[in-house]
Amino acid sequence: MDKQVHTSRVGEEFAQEMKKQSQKERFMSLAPLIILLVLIVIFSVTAQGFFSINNFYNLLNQAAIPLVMSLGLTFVILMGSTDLSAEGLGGFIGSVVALMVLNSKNDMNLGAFAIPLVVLISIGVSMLSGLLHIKGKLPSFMVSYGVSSIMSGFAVLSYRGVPARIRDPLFTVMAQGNFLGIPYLTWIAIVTFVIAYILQNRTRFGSYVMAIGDNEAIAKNIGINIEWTKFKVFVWLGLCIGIVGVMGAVRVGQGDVGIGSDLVFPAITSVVVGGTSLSGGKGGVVHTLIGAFIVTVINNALVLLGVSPYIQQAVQGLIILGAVALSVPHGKNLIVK
Amino acid sequence: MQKENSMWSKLAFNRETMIKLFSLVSVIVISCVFCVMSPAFLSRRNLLNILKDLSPVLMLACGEAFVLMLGSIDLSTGCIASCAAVMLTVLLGKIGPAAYLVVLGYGVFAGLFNGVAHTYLQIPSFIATLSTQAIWQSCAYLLSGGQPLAMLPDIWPYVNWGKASFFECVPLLFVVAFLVLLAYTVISKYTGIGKTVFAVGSNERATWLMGQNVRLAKMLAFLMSGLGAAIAGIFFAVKLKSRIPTVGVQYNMLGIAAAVLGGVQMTGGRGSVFMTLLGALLITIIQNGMNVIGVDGLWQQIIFGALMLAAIFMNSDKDHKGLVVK
Amino acid sequence: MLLLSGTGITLMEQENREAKKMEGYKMKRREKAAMLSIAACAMLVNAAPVMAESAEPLTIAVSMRSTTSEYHMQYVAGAELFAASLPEGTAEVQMLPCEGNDDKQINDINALIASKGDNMILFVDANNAPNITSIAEACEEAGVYWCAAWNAPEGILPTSYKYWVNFQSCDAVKQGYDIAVNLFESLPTPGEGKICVLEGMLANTANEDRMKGLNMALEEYPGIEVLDDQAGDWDTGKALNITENWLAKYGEDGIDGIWCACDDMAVGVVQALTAKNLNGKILSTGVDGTSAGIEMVENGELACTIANNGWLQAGYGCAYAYAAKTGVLDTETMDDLHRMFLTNGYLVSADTLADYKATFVDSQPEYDFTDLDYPIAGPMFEE
Repeated sequence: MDKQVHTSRVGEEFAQEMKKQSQKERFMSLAPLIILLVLIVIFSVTAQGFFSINNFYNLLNQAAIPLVMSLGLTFVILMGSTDLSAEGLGGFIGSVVALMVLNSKNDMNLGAFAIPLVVLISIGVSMLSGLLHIKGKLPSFMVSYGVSSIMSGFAVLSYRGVPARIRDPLFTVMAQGNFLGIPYLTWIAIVTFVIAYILQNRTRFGSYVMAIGDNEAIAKNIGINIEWTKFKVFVWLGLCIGIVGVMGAVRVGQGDVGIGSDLVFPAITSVVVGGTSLSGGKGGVVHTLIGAFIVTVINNALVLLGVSPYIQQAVQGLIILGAVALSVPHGKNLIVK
Repeated sequence: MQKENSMWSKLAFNRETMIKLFSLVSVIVISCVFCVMSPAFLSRRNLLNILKDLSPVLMLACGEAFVLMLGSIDLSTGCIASCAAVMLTVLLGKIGPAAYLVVLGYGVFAGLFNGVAHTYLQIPSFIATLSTQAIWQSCAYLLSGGQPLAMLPDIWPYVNWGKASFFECVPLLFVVAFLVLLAYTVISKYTGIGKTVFAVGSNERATWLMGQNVRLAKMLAFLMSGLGAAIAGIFFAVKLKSRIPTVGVQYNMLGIAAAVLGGVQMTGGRGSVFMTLLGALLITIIQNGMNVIGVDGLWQQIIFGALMLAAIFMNSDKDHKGLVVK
Repeated sequence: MLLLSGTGITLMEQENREAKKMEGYKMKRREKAAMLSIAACAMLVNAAPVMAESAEPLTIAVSMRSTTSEYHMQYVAGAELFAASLPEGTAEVQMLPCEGNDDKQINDINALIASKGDNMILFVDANNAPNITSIAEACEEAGVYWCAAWNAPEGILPTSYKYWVNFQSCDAVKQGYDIAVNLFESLPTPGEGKICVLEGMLANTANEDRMKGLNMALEEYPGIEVLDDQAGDWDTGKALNITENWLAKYGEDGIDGIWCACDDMAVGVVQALTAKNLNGKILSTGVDGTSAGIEMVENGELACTIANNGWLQAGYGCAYAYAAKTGVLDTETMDDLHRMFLTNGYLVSADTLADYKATFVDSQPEYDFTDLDYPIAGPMFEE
């Protein structure tokens, strides 16, 4: 009789502990969302013009490209790798697409066909880069750095100092028009997000990626084809970079290697701030969505607050440090790299 | 049984030296190619240039190697160097040669800052150093008042040592860099805490279970990285004789590239600090050589990227079938 | 060198022979692949255009910031114009882009000097003024004649160096001032209104000078109010984002004009304005005179831009250096006017547009590089 009571007490205690743990985990996973809401509240109060329709429209516009980029990188990071090739590749795609449609430099006019064409090119390059990583067993960080360098060199070669200004009316409409009040570019981002969500949560591909990120050796042992999955991740990355390149060219109205600059690190920041772990296996596209908004909101608010450009970077850095410190799991025995 | 043993140990020895030799081979092959295309590549004057250019990159790389061996990464080294360069120039005018000590102290502080953010706040090193990169870059802007200015002639005597050289082809700058590299190598290979850094990179949990002070090792690694970056900043200031707050921005990535080309694995636990010399040498030779042989400016980035990929390919360690490469 | 490689290869062979048992074969294949790739790179490099053969023709080196800036590429075109004016085969142009990296700019120039010795002349647009000191010393030591444009540190002048032939600039301070004044006068109520300031890259000499000009203009026009000041890093995308944020913050009626420090950023500004149909109503400025900038002036979206005429600057800069090298000029006897002068930047606005296009766009100006007085618009320093 005593023993039974004792055991059930222990059982109760255990159940309580588990409940506390899972509550903690739920809280941790909600942390990015809470941070986003807190930031929005703070900025609405302190920054003139933040809490306005105009500004929300701006935010949607400005978040679109970083979001697509982050979605591409999410799967890469879920696997535990990193990829820096977007800077060169994105710039290359943007420059090339400008040269393919009606523009100020040459006579090509492929119109809407140019878009799938350049996206295919982007996927191709990304596949090559992925192959070097998968088959060559080279660290993705360095391979993508090399690829980025090569592609940005090609981008510059493609327009030799004089960027091609886009004259195609389709592109102009895409840059400025909207559908149901939301800009076209944002629609592209939303569609990409939905596809990414489906990929992650409703396909085997998504669960394989999570498994590989969590523990590659075990994933191999249960029969997941690691190389094929990794390859598909790079295809998805190439697709996203291609879309980003086109969106960038649309937004800026010309083909310019600068389209790719400053895309990668903010995207990786978005992914991590959102709660996805850099070593892989934890997180997801919803996390990334929140992270991308956090980063965009901060950028936007700093300009609205009129923060001196000299210290803008430092303020961003500090906020990100704070946000990540709050949203990563803490624990004595935890291994953080 | 014994025969087998010796064969296996011989093979193990060979694999290690293979990796080291590959870095050396890459350097030799590329140098040969450049030399054939333009004999001026190996002239005394150009050797002086190469060694001078090499010094700051070497400092960035050997500090970075410590962090990479942990399995982490430090993205802030270039901006710490910028801030250090600006700080040196500003302070030399105010407190004379003591400025060097202050700047070195700053390097230690910056490194510890990274270390604290990573070990105590448990922020992944990627994000932590990305954020500190932004912070130090802003500091560089503020310290310089937003103005890139040349060093005033009255402090030139404190930096003229940067011009000295031996045999007209070995600059003093490089000698100092080499000595620092040796010091770093000794720390990493022969001190207890240095060996712990290796161990943490190989298997952190096991190291912790064995009772080693993992936290201290991590702090040390970041400290070495910060200090290396500050020394690199000093070299920049001495070379350029100016305070330009954006001088180090490009080098955030090059330091990492140099360390990796020197054989340090990004997953940690393998590599040698001394070999980063070869990695840095490779990068400098590629950049210098492209100009000496007259590669068209528009093609330089492409060729640089391609050579980097080739070099990484040659240096990678493909023997470990079970090793997970991220 | 050969000894080193010989030793290296022998060592390698030894290791290979011993390790042949297990991994040896794989190693050799990998090694071969690596050698092949290096050889391929060597061939690619051989095939790459503009490889200056050592010794024979004179190398004209153009060191500038980036290959992505149309204005900087004008320098290269100007140098090529000059090279073409010389007898066939005398000179070849090599560009040294530093991509915004000061260390690289100096390293590249040093490397070229090591390669060509004094068989070269140099035209430099320094990434930042302090670089000039290092370049001056290197050229002085090597006996290389050179010219600089735009940035130089205070107190450091060609007159102190034998091989620094001349230093020319459009007055960046004046440019910042001119475009500001033009903008202020073009506002709905001339001389009065609210503007936003979009600087270029922080802590960059050219940027700082243009800002000085702007501030001078602001002092003369008390009716102008500056709402905000942000840095666009000479980047189109950033300029676009910043302008969008401004429009949200101040509302579409809250801004009358935007002072923008370069054409590339102005493209982004105008894009943001066009999205709200404000292009042409809120005017912006630019500098550099790129084709995009000229187009925007034509469309009435840009109040003005300044064409710095990179062709003239580089072409004549090279002409001066060449003249000094061939003995036509002697730097010791040249007067100050010829060693430091201002060149004309062309303010392109709605009024002057037609003229500008006729001279520079629809036809290529013919430059007589033997007339070294041609580019001089005035002395750099008033006596």
